[in-house]
Formats: sequence, structure tokens, C-alpha cells
Amino acid sequence: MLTHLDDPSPPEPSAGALGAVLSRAARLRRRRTNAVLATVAAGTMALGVVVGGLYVPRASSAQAEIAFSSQFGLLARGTLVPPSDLADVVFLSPDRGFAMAVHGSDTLLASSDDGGNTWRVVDPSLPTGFPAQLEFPDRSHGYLWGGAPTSSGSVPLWVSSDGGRSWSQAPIGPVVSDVSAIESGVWAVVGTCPVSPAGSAPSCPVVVEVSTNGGSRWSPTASTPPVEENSSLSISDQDIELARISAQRAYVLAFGPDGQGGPASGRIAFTSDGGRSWASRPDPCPPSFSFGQQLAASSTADLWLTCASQGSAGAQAKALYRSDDGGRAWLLAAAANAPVLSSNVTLDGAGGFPVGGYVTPYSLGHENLAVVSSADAWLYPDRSAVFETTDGGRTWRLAPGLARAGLVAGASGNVVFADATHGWVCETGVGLWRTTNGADWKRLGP
Amino acid sequence: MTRSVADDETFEEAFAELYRLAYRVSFRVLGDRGDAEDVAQEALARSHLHWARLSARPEGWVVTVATNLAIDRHRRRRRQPATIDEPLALVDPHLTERIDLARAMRRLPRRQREVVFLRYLADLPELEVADALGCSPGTVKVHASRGLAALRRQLDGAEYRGEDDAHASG
Repeated sequence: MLTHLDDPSPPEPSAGALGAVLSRAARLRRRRTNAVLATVAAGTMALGVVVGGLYVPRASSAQAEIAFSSQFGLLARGTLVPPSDLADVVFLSPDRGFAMAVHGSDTLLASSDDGGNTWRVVDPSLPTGFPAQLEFPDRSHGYLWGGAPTSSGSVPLWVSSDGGRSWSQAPIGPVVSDVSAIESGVWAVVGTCPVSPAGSAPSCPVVVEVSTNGGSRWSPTASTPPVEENSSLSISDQDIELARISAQRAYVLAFGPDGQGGPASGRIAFTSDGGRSWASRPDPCPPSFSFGQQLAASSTADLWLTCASQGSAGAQAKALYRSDDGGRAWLLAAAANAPVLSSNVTLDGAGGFPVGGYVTPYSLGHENLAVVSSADAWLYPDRSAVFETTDGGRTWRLAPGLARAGLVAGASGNVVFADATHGWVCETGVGLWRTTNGADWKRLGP
Repeated sequence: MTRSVADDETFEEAFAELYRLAYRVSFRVLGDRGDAEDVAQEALARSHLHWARLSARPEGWVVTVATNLAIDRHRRRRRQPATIDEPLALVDPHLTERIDLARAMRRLPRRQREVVFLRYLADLPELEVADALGCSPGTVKVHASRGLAALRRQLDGAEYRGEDDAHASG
């Protein structure tokens, strides 16, 4: 972010610098000793006239800044949560939404029934903390996964059937990488090896588990997708993405830095029969752009694939590919070149993608790309601003309505749409904005 | 997450890495090599006094102290009249930006300031920032987001254009 303020040729730490530091430390120690002796002397003289009060521990400023209504500890169910305190939102209709918010050391779940104007606590302490991922296909059934691995290296899936009031751990694992629920059918991509230290486990098979009863019972698909997961990547470098287009059609993407994320071919697996069989689809992203990928769709055949390089200093090389035949053939729609980040590989993109900000995998817990039609989509890269396209992704521009409504660029957040016109942008811990016509945005809450 | 330099190393062994870190954050605020070296040495000297109880994570402490020292020095320097024979603006093309940045960082609430120091001034990953501050990654994410938003507001996003600022090229 601030590399342009760096010294282009910083001095190397030398033995002389170490000597100077130790000398300073010795002087500081002597000065401090003298000061303590002086204080003890003054304190002795004043003994007997000290009037003291009870020491009242105070909550840290960190807690105070994110406290709701000055309350500490677990919040009661039903407590109002200001939209400005939300960390991530999902909406299943123009009115009904769920959100996570960080409160002290807990991550809470809140819900809204009025399109995001008011939020109330549903569960004051979720079993896994933000930046976890959340999905609610209906008002009752919720799925929560991601976040930091447990001490045993597992990343469990938590399931709720009472609107998020209580959660139980799903009997699948050990590493649930991604989940997608469509009505009562939910799929989970599961890594079969626990998260392990870097370099100790290069790759690991993945299976797709399916539940048709809201997450109580699970069984693997008849065949497994031909992709592997790199279990030595940290969870923040999630390298598997599940994109379900319909109840039967789904894609599994495996990606990672060069030499990771499975074989170079077959990194996109596709099924059209509910997982009974899988076929490989070509991956159009060059290896240096395969640090993270995300796939979205506006229909069964219309696919949008973003991929990106390793990020640095707030910038990331990115590419957007489109397919109108379900992923058999891809066309480059736009690119953001940053040769220093992509091994000097540059792409010819008609129009442009924003260089600033990170897309997956740095944005774990956030959805960056919301596609609402074959022409219209929204992109919110991490540490950047919200961009929109109206020409199928060839050109992107800063969403003007959001800037006018007070969204400040440079933070983190997510963009979601419940339908073609009802959308929300959550700037983590800052605010929530809504559009009801796909053009005009309004900040919600006080 | 990288192993902390203090896990099993003495101060002397950790010195080089910590010195580079302290110098980098100091230079980003001050833009002057001599001043940044002086601040880095002071921060390292202070860390030496507390070495036994810095637990296994000295990076966060060193970054916070170095940045606060740099901001203090920046403030003092601004109070001194510029000399004709050493116009700072000619030496440092980013002088105005550094002044605005130091002023804006001073105004952040303590926890946001600490997170911004570690996450963006020192470029530490979120998990290491969480580790250094003893809080969850989610808390770091929230404070980082709020801190950046506050900084952008103060720096007037329309005028502050760092190299990485988001832009649509098409």
C-alpha cells in the first residue's frame, strides 16, 4: 500500500548499528534505574497522605469501539446491531438477510427482515469466527464454514435448522473448503487431509459430499471430481471453489500458485448430473494468474471466471474470462496487467479491470463478484472500491452511486445481490449500502 | 504464518530483521534516512530493555514503538522552521503525503492505529497482526477496514492517490 514511500536503497543492519543500539539500551537502563530510585524516594516521603480509590478494570478500547449500545460480553438475542458494525452480509430475498458482526472476541449472527435497515442478534457467539463464510438458502437452514483451522487441522461445517439460533457440526471433514446450497440440497467440497504445515503435504484428494435433508445426513457423490487440494496452504489461501449453477450442474475449481493446486490440466471439473460423473473443462488462466479464481454465472451456460496473480502492495494482476457454452471455450473479456506480479506475463484485455485491490483468495469470507445478468456485474476487490460493468465485463468503472452515498474506497467488504436489482454492499465494520434498482445506492442505518 | 524471530533467538540474532522492519516503517513516515535510522535504533534499544518479557512476538511491539517515535519526530520537525538551504520539499517528493499520513494516523483510535501500523505500514499478514495484538483475525479485519476507511476520509480520497489506489483503466 505504501511501498512508494519506501527508501529505494535501505541501509543494511550492520555490527556498528547493533553496537549503537546496545549502547543506547545501556543508557536507557541507567536512566530508568535513576528515575525509579527518585520515584521511590518521593513515594516514601508522601506515604500516609495517599488517598486512593478502587481500581475499576475497564474494557479495552478495541472492545469499546465495536461495542453495540455500550454492552459487553455476550449480547442478548434480539439486541439491535447497527449496520455500521456488520462484517459480512448474505441475502436470500430483497427483505431477508443474515450477517456476521465481530463483537469483542465473539462473532455474532444477526438477521434482518426489512432489507437491511435493522438488524438483531440471532446467535451472540457463532461456533467459528469471522472471516468464516455463511450461506442461508432459506429462512431456516444455515451453513457456516471457514475461519481458522482447529488445532487438529480440521475446518468443520456447522449447520443450523432453526434460522441460525443454534448450530451443530456436520459429520463431514476434515477440511470443508466450500459449500453451496440450493433449496434443500447442499453440496460441500471436502479436503480429505487436515491442514498441515507448509511443505509437508503437497496435495490431497477432494470429495464432494451431498445432503438433501438440510445437512443432517451426508453422502459422497457417485464419483469424485478430478482435482486435488493443497492441504499445506493456509486456510486463508483457500484453493478450492465450488460453483453450483443449478441443482445438478456444478463446477469445482482447484487453483494455487505455480506448481500447486493440482495438475495444470483438469483444474476445472464439471458435472451436469449431480455428481454421478465429472468432466474436465479447460482452465484459461495462465499459471501466473492462478493464485485465486472465482466463478459466477447468470445462467446455466453463461459463466464469468476471474483469476488473479499473487498480490502485493494493494495491487494484483487480474483477468476476466467469459464462456457462453458452459466452460468448453473461454474468451478473455478484460485484464489488469501488473507484470511484476505475474512473472512478466501480460494479457491483451479489451477494456480494463482494476489493478487495485485483491480478489480471491485474499478475500476469504467475502464474495467479490456478483453477476446479475449476461451484461451486468459488480466487483468489490479487497482493499479497493466497488466497480460495475454493463457491457459483459469488457469495461469496468467505479460505481458512482456508491461514492455519492458515502462509501469510502480502500477497505474490505462484500457485494451481494438477491435478484437483478436488489443488492447490498457491506464495507466491513464501516457501513451497509443498498440498491433497489441496480443504480441508486443508499446508506442504511443511522 | 512465519515463525517469530524471538522463538528461540537472542536479541542479537533477531536484530537484523527487526531493524529492517523498524527502519521501513520509520522511513515511510519520515522520508529521511538519518532520522529513520535514528528512530529504528531507538526502538530497538527500547525493545532490548523489555526483551525478556516481549514473549515470542517482538515484531508488533517494535513496529508500534518505531511508528509512534517517527510520528512524534515528524510533529517536532514540523514545528521547526525550514531552513532555506535545505528545503525538505525538494528532497522528498512525497513530503506532503507523509505529513498527511502521520497526521491522519495520529487521529485514529488506539486499536485501529495499532492494526494500521502493523498491517499496512509494516505489511504484516492479518494472522501475524492478530497474533501480535492478541486478538482474532476477524477483529484485525474489522479494525483494518475501519482504520483504512478513516484514513481515506481524512486524507480526502479524491486528492490522495497512492500508487496502488484503485482505478478503472477502461
